[in-house]
Amino acid sequence: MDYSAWTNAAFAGVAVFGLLLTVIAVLAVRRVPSPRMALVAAGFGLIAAQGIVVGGSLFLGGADLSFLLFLSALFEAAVLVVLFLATVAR
Amino acid sequence: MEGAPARNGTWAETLLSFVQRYPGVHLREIRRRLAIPIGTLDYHLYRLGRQGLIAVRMQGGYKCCFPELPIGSGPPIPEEDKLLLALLRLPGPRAILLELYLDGPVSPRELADAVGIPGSNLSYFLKRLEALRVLVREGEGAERRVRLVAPVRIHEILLRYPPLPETALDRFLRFWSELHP
Repeated sequence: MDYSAWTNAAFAGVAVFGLLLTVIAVLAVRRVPSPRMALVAAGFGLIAAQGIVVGGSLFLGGADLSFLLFLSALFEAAVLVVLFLATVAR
Repeated sequence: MEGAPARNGTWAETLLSFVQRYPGVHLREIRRRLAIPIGTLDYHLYRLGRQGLIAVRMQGGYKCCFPELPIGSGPPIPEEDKLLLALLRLPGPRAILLELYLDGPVSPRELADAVGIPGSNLSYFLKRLEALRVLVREGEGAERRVRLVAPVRIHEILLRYPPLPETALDRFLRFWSELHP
């Protein structure tokens, strides 16, 4: 079974919801400027970036799948680090 | 958010009912919640003021709006309540009064920890609430305590005048702000 269409749709969803949450987080930072909220905004921004970069590469085709998987893992690791810092930041 | 209210009525009606529901609401908050263009807001506030329906007054650095007529069948808002209401439209003072009502007299440090307000801001709000004779600070040093002057009155005010409803952005902020290791 070919999952490419579903994969594109899933990454598009990641990009859209990531962007939506990034916008909310940026509005929150503007209202209450704090390191924590800035980190949360950065975390959601990274999720949106992952959706755009990886999803876009898949959609356009030609990219090495193992490299995209590696890129995806890097984004997720970065998101986890940033959200961890946001959780412990005061 | 309370979006696109003008579809269900005129801006004037929407504005009046919002101010009647949340007396003392700050001008900035009206703009944000009702998404009224500033020119439209100015115009309707002026008109409603001329008709004796809404009063705008400067209170503690904020422009606050009050209904001039009694809300429903209730009595008009007493002057001392108006002063307090303008302050209670900020989340900090409301949290301070709620904490003091629920937990009774506490030290300033305990109060700061409970409501999550930094020391300098807390001191500012306590000073203003003390000036309104809502609370008093007693004792010195480690014995210092903050207590409400009339807890029953504060309870009535907190119940009678509800806070503005939380928006999605407020909930987002609260969720992430309340995380502690």
